[in-house]
Amino acid sequence: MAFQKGKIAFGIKRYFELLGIYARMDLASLMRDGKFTALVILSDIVSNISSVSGVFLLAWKFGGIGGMDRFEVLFMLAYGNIVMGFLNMIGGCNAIFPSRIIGRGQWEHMFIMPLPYGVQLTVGIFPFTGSSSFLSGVGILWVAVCHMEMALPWWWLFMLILQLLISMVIVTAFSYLFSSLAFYAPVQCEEIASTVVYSMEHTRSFPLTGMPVYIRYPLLTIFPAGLMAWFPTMILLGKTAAFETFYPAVFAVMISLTAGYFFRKGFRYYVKKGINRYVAGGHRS
Amino acid sequence: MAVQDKTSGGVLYLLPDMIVKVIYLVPVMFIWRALAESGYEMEMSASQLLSYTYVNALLADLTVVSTCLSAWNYDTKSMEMFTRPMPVFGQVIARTMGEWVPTLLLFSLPMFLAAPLLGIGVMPESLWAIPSLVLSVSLGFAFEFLFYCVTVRLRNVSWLTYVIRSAVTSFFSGTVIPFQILPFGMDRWIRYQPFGSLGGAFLSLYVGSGEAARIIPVQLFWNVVIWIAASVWFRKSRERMVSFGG
Repeated sequence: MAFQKGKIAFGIKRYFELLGIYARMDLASLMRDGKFTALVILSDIVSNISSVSGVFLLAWKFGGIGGMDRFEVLFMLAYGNIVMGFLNMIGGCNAIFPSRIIGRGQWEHMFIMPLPYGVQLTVGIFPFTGSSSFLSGVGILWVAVCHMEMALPWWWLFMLILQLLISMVIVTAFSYLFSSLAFYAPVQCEEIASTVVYSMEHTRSFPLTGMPVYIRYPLLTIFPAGLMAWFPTMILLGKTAAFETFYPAVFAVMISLTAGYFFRKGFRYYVKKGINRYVAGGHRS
Repeated sequence: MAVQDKTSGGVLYLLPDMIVKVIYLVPVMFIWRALAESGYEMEMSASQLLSYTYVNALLADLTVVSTCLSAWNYDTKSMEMFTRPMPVFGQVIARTMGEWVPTLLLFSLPMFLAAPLLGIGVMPESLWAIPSLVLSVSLGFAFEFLFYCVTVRLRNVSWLTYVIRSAVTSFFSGTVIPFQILPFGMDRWIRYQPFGSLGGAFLSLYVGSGEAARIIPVQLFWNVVIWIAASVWFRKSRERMVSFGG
């Protein structure tokens, strides 16, 4: 029993050591020269401003969009930035885009590593080079909250964190669900996860309030971009019915179970068939 | 060859990209409709906004050009071009135009024919839209070479270049949100920056919200400037190119 406890404690300690190693490598990569650092910071600033500016400028001009006022739209845009920013930060080594790992034949590299798959996928963090979207999202969210007239109860912050986590689970599960296809068609589906996630990222910035149900429902079920920012925002702003509050959590559980089932199924197929994607020169075929 | 390369896995594999385009298109069009119905005075009519977004989705590959130079160097596509007895510029342009064909035939054409059924006007308001599209595509290629030089100079940090390029072009090209409806009178200056002569310039002529006499000279000017910059910088940068495999 004591041996088991020691083993678990060592595992946790080792996990955080690996996180620290990746964090140091990320910092070293950022600081390798001044010009590079300046360019990364500049590109991140431009990228983050661009990602929210279009829709927010529209909201500003028209005093809001589809029943949401200017700062509610800004809140929604910031929420989406936090979701994607955090996923980019912790899933930087393609953990959020597993079809790339599979399609590039790198899943096989993971077989020989003396670490569980979950650890290999989650320790590759980019806390410095990948944090700009997350930090800018937090900043913009703060600005939006300060300008909203709603009185926030004490538990609102916990609700915000919970909704953010649920949104992240949905995006990750959706990515893994589609990545299962890469086990069967590695070349064609190498970028399927990025296609799906980036499409959700682009679509998340549209306020769906006031859109007809035949647009809104598919974006909350079949292609759940609405659960990345719009619907959680409506929950956090108290604009949904009580029973709707639980919908994102229920959806997250269902999509996770489905993704888990199909990913394992694909993996079993892959173990039998394998992959051969590299030519002698080291380049991909 | 480019068409074969694009469809070698089967035409079915082009389907996800097309579905994604439609998924992106629908909410934007409903936003325009909602804004138009809200009674605000806009510089563009609802039908112009709908056509703008719809045509952009059909011609997305052309309004903001993306070539294999934007991809990372792991697949040697850019390196291979230096080993052939042909100009690199010509190869990139020919290859990219070839890659457009499957999407134009299988997505753009059917969507173009279906547009009247959806109540969207897709016929150009001015024939000046044709030379404007040519200039827009030409400028897109020039930017590709320019950004490729940035990648080479930054020692292959393709991802960083890609992020800068995508972020800048998504907003400053005016393909997603037309300049005319931006607040604070931004359209007075934003249309004159170089990215403004990409797809946004063509689309505003296409739907009749811009004047050819104002748009075409600006497009010509930026074509000359950016092509000269791209050619000179490409000549100076190409020998620094490295590829590590991947």
